[in-house]
Amino acid sequence: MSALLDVTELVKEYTPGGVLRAGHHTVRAVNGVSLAIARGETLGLVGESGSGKSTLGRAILHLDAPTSGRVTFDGVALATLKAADLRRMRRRMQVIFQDTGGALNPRRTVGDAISEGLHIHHLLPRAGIPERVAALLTEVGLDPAFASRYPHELSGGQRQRIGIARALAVEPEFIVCDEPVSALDVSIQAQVLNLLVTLRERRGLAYLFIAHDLAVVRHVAHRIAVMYLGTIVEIGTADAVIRQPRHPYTQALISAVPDPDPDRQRTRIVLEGEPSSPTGTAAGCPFAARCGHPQRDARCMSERPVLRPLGTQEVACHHAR
Amino acid sequence: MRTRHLAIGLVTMLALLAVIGPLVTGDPYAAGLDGARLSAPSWQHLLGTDQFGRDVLARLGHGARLSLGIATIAIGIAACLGLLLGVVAGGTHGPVAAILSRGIDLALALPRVVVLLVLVAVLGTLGPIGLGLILGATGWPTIARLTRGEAQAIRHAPHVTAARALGATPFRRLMREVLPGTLPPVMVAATLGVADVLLLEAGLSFLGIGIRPPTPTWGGMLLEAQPYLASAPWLLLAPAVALITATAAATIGGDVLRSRFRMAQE
Amino acid sequence: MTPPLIVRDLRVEFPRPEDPTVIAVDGIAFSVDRGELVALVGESGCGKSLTALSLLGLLPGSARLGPDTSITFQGEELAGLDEAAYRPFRGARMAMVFQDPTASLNPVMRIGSQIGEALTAHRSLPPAKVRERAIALLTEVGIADPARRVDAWPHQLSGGMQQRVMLAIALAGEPELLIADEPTTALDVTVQAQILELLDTLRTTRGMAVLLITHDLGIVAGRADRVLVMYAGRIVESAPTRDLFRAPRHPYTRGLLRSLPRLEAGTERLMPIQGTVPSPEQWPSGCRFHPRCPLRIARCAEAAPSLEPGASRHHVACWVTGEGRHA
Repeated sequence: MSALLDVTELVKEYTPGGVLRAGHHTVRAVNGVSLAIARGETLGLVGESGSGKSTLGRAILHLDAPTSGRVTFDGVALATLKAADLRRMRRRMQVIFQDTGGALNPRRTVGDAISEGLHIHHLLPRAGIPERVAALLTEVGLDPAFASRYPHELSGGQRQRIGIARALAVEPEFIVCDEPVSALDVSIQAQVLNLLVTLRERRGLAYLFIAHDLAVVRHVAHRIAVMYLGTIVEIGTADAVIRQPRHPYTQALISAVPDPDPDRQRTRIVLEGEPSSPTGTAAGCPFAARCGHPQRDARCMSERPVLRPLGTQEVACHHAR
Repeated sequence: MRTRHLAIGLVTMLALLAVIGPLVTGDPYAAGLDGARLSAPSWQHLLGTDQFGRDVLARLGHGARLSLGIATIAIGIAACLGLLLGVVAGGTHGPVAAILSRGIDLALALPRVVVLLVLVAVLGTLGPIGLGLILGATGWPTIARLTRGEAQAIRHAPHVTAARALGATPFRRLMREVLPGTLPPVMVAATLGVADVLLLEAGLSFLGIGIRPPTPTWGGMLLEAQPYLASAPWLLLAPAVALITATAAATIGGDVLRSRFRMAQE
Repeated sequence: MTPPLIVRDLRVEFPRPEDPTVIAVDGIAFSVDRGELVALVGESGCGKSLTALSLLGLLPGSARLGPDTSITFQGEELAGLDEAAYRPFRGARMAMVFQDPTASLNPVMRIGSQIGEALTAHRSLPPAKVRERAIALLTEVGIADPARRVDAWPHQLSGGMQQRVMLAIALAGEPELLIADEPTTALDVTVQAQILELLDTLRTTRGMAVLLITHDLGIVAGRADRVLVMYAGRIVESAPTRDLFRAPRHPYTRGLLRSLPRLEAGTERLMPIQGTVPSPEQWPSGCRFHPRCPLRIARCAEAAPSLEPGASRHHVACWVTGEGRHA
């Protein structure tokens, strides 16, 4: 069966303008990413700041048009759609944001927010909307009475559920979850994660789950892609990537994840320095400057590695094994 | 708390004066019989009479109605125009927004008073409605700039992106997501703008180029009170106090609105 | 030896003119020893940040300390001191590092100057010495090329480096107590590891007492000597780190540990704690956790349990699992 979402060599560049910046260098936030997501599958996308993961999510949805590359949803190349058709297509590919407070219009009630999609796409006659809103609220674990409340009256976890209900209202097939639990308290994170998994199973949803926390992604994703400075450096099943990471960055990332077990503290691979700004102009492997692999060599600095199969994963590294 | 009550009190007083005053105080045009000219405040004429024997209180009341009426028209026009132009200039991107934006900047560069004087010179004597219109026509750039700034900030808010992700058209996003957020600051600016307009209108009338006598306006009354400063100070005091009170009420009202909006945001 | 910091009955209240006083921190007690790293763990709204602020006398104007609150630092009582009396302590003997370094650094001042400000706040030094000390501090916090970086502007530094600068500023006064309020929450995970490593090194080399405030139990497991778990303004469990993770006793602590996503787990469902954290205006009676607690009994709603000393230094505030009972 063909993939629901197919991304080929996606590139997204910005030119951060502004009077105060000397020179206009382009930032290549996404540097040639290819991936595919099947129906009902969850792909976890993990990376730190500067990795381009959020930019990738937005570019896939054409919220920011990609600089180059192709995004195909259910066989349709998004770039070929006219504006009105793209808006119609959005029904099928939704998004959940990290900033629960900002993502809801403070002047609209919860019910208004959830029914927005229903109005835009004329999915229900006006009379049927309150009932659907109530059903959605129940589905995300909230009392239907919340429909008349305002976002500022609710907690972060409740607001996130509303964001989810809003996305579900249009019956999408695919949802980009952009750091959906990063801003939530630990005990609420677990609730929302469980909710996302339940919904996925019940509705057959595909997710692109973007997060910086590998442990969170572990609980949700079938496959995991690790991003560094705009490139996917490793991609494979969740099990494989976490139990047998092949790329040096993945290994460092995993070792840095705090382990809530005092006796099982991982040996930390401490990376030097920090990720540089993704100008994408540097030749060679984006991770070369910080890589601690014993076989790092001149080839790493000059030749950019591509994803190649290694075990059950694909890894972009000249020397991984 | 207290400021709010003060503002409400002042506004109520002035509203009463404007609405009811003319109905109960008598004819502002009635020239007095002998002996009633330039008379000091008395029970018969609570604020005295002017050089024609006309009751000052009656004139004040009519003046209130006129001045506040002109202010309402002016602010109404300025707010509507400014809001519309500003929200499109700041809330959309593209050539239209750019042109509008430059237009707003250009309009802001013109000094309001000079433009008013030019308009009056060109259009001649204006009635209250005409005056309200030109005051509004010169008042929209400030509100447009304010709205533009707010719209630019809101445009990038996550809830606007969320609406886009749901498939909302640019128009819908502008009207439902961006515009409502610009309203509170515009309301504050409009309220404060009332003070500006009151003073401008009074100034024009004082200069003799606004509302012409015998129609009573506060500015006109100030003009006419000039020769009688020493002999009949109440002629000056009445309109001056009224003007100051009204301006203060508008300013305080604007401040109160602003702090309430700020508190609501937190 | 007496611990440098001893806190007793710390209460932080917000009196309101027409409504009942809101109590944000409800009588907590703890101490931090020299060279010890104590972690104060809790979710948002539990009062941990207010606790940190109260130690340095930085509470907002509307807040009041409780009447019996005692904050003893190196034998001196800090609770109730006024601004002027507090100043000699802040920055010199007690220092604080906050969550968001970008917000804490002055964007129009070079970092060398900001460190210099901290250095000269409590003693006078000639400018050459100030610069020398600043460079030395930057080296100590692991900033490469410190002689050049000392003239950098904050925006030229990454988040991790800014946080290191904040640490340098905090250390400038040679404090005996360092309070770090969510120092790594805004940072990437790999950078977080570096900063925590740095904190650990600093407290060992300088013998500082460190109070680390965080919501992340994960970072606590590897670093802290002792953990205090806070919920709704109270400390519900206090134990040496290993004991807390190996044998958590309070139902909240257990719930929290069970709900943590873990790398090693498979894709089993997480086990979240039912319900949500109550806000201070709506704290339940008795034990504040009881509405969400799977082990609750009638008594839990009636009266609040206090921290019972258990075996070793493990204290729990629970009617069911406290008092030496191991559920």
